[in-house]
Amino acid sequence: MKPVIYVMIVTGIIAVIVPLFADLYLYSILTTVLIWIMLGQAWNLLGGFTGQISFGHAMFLAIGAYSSMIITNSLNLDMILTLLVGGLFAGLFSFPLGLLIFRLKGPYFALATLAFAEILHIVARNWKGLTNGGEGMMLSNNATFLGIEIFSNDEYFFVALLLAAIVSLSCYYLMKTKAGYSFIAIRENQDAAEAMGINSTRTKSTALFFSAFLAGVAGGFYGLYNKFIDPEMTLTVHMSAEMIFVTVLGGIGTILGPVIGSTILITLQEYLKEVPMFQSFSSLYLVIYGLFIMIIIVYLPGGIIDGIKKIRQYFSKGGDESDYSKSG
Amino acid sequence: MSIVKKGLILFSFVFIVLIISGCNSENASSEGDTIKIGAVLPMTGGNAVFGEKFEQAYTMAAEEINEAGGVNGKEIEIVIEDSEGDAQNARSATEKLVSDDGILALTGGRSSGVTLVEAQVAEENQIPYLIDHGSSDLATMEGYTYVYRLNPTAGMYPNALLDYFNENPPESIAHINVDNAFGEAVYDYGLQGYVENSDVEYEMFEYTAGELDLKPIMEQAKGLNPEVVLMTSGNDNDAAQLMMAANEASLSPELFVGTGAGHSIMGFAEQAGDLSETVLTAGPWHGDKNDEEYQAFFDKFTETYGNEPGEHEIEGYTAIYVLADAFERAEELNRESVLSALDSTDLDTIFGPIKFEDFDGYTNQNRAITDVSQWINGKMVTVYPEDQAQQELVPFQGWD
Amino acid sequence: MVQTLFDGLMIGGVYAIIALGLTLIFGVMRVINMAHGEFVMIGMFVSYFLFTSIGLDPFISIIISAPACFLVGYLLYRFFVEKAKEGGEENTLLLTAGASIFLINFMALPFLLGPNFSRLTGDNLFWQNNVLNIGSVSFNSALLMGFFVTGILICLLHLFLTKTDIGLAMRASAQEPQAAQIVGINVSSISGLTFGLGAAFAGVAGSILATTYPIYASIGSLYLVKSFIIVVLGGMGSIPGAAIGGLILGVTESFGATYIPGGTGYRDVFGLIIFLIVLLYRPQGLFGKGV
Repeated sequence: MKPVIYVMIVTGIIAVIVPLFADLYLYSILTTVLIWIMLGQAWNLLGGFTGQISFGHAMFLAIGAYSSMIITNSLNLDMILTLLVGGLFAGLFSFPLGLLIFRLKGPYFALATLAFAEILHIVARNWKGLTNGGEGMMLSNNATFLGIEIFSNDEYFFVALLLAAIVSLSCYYLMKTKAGYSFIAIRENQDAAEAMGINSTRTKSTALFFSAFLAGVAGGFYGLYNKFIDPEMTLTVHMSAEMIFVTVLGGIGTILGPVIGSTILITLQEYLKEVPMFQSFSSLYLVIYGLFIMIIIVYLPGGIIDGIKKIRQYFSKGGDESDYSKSG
Repeated sequence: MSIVKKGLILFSFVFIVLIISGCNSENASSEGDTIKIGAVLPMTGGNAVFGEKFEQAYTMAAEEINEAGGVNGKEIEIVIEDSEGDAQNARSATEKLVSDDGILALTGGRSSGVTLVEAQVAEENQIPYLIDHGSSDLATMEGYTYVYRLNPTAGMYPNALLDYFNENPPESIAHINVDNAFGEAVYDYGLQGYVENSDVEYEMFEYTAGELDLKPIMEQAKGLNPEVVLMTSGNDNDAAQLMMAANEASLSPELFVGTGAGHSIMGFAEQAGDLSETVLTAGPWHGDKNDEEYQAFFDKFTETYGNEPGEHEIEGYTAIYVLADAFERAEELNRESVLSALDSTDLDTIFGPIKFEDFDGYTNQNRAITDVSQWINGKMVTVYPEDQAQQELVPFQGWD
Repeated sequence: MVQTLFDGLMIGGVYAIIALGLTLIFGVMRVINMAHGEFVMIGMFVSYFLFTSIGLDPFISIIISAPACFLVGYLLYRFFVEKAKEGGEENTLLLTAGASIFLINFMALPFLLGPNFSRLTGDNLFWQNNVLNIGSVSFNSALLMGFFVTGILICLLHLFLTKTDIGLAMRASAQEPQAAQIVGINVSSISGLTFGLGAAFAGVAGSILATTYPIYASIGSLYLVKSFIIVVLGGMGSIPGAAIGGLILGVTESFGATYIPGGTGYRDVFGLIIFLIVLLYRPQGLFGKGV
């Protein structure tokens, strides 16, 4: 079954079932899950498939978020345009950034992205004229999507569902193109890839562009959904780290990874809030979250998807030889 | 793994999620005998100490009201959701409260970001929201019909101080301001007018909340040789750190004045110790210590909880009383009626008279009283305006 | 101006000792420890706890906070970092990031630090809010003492690395891990010891900082970025580099914050820009061996 059809079916089913029993609160949880799916997919393009771990992706989210807020407030353009423009700004910003720091390998690249994001964080806090500084920006016009006004939670949910599906599919198809394969080649062995004629800088820049673009789009939606942004909810290391962890938990370098990771992490967090023990020790959830991340990285680097695969292999011992696809 | 299998796994995940989430949101319908008030508070995270203060204040107020017969026979119940001090969680926390039909009004919020988000969600979902502490001016400047505020905004915090300055004009002011929403609002909506229209020599030096090395900023301020050093910090930690840095740099103005928040909670005196002596703070009024009702509240709170109540506790306590009053006057027990009743509030409380008006760009804002207090022997004493003053204002004691 | 210089040196000394631990870890194991700030925090906590329970002076409590942090670091290495290393350098980066979250929130549990700020307060602490004036320059007494403690520790470290067997083994493992293995050095244990030692240094810094600064679970992140800047500036793996880099950063920040108009808000940007420039154009830093 073609992936598009299949995604459409799943999305359709969700779109029909959810409204049957969802309330305000549930819509907001699901929308949050969907936003993080998008952010995870964006990060995954660069981090999972191309192997360049970025610790500063929040900056692309922020560029998208601030752009969309400013554009919607001043020009009141349709959401589709706004998000595209936001993503484009993020993508364009990524060009000089990439050219500057792609010469750095592995963890040094990560540190450089972290430094850049922090610089942007400080600038956003101080540049009152552009970002309204620490006070943050409120959305003063209602966003519209294809002309329809999007205001309440259920309306945002449907848009988020659509966007998340499109983003995930786009990543899937991108990875099936020649460019996509070159991403993987760079990840596996940059020197060998170059020897085969792949221009590593150009490939990495392409991956970064799409990754930044998508993060910008997701960021733009994030801003419009919350109807308020400030530097502390867009440009913190926490945001960058969350993008990484939802992907790593679910399965780095896979399309389903961010979907699963985001779903589990976000809903688990909300669910645990109801459990009394976690209410008294608020940081208990994060203690377990941190421990979990550590365990996954050491013992199950492929994330939950890898875990499922291993379980299936265990049960069909000696069977399914066709399952030896590398998921990274 | 084939697409179909992958899809089934994905789908089952989503389905399980929905089921878990579905079970989660218990839609409590309004129980006949209680009226619920919802509040989003930082119960965990760095600001948890404030969440606790409000919880204590709300609980005490609710218990008192219920013991006195409740509202038309019905009891008040407070439902608290944890914001973790994070504006991101604020939205879902507020929405969770809004989903509960038994909740007729909201209060709480505390920090600027959370308050703003709570206000938006309240407005979107048409539920009255009485801000009791959040100082972000924007919350009552957006023309929201469902949002009311009984406390002063950050811009209003320096009101009493500015009256004092008008009577005793300083020659120079060095303002050490925090670079977040609170600090910006204090200047933009509060001090700016005064600074631009008077002859005072004013200079602002900004620092980031949590900054540890504040000595350079003190050295810079020293260069101005200021008569008054104004300080703004959102938390007591920064407030104390500022005084320590001023000590190190031997910055010696006539007066040190904090603009409420960090400078007006016990934590400041505890952390700064002797360095807090004679430091002034300008912000929300703390109640008339000569008033019997206030004194009763003060004593009961201290006895019940072991700490003395300050501006947060008095605001929270008053908020519950204001809402209870609105419930009583409401024609019916639904959100719209409560809204109308709230709008026509005219109540005398230990926090002063509460009435919501539109002025200076604000809507539904109470003309809250502000004062100037001074830290003497580890306690805050009102020193201005004169009719509220318990003592006279003394100049900064110096560093010896 | 002189005041600004000395202020910068004082704070730089503190930065230096934190960076020392980080550069040690990096030099020997090529591990970028995102949880380094948390070791500082744990050191602060130990001193705070000992001070509030038995009145032990923080400077003396170093005897306990250093080994405590050593232990935490060592355990972290043996159970997690060692295995994560097999996955590559990015892997350890992610792992230590996860460790950071774990440690911060573990320490924020109510029976430890709790979610609030704490501070060492009390009378009769000679270094408490004590300003020492030498000539026209004012010093924070606690930081001044800390500066000297740092100096002593650096000398001790130097002696350790040049005169003791373990120290020499560490340097050998750093320079040529495979050759060291062949010669019979258990590189794995040495790595664990090094990680622990790096953590211990961070703990010492924590004890010194606890005299003057507030203590809370997430304070580590403030120091982490600065430590990276210094390690890169001074040269990864270089002890003198970390020391001098720390002083340079401290002084730069101090001057930047004092003399550049509006500089106080952008204060941290200076360090970050230096960091990027060095990383891009002189990755071996001032004294290092290359990336």
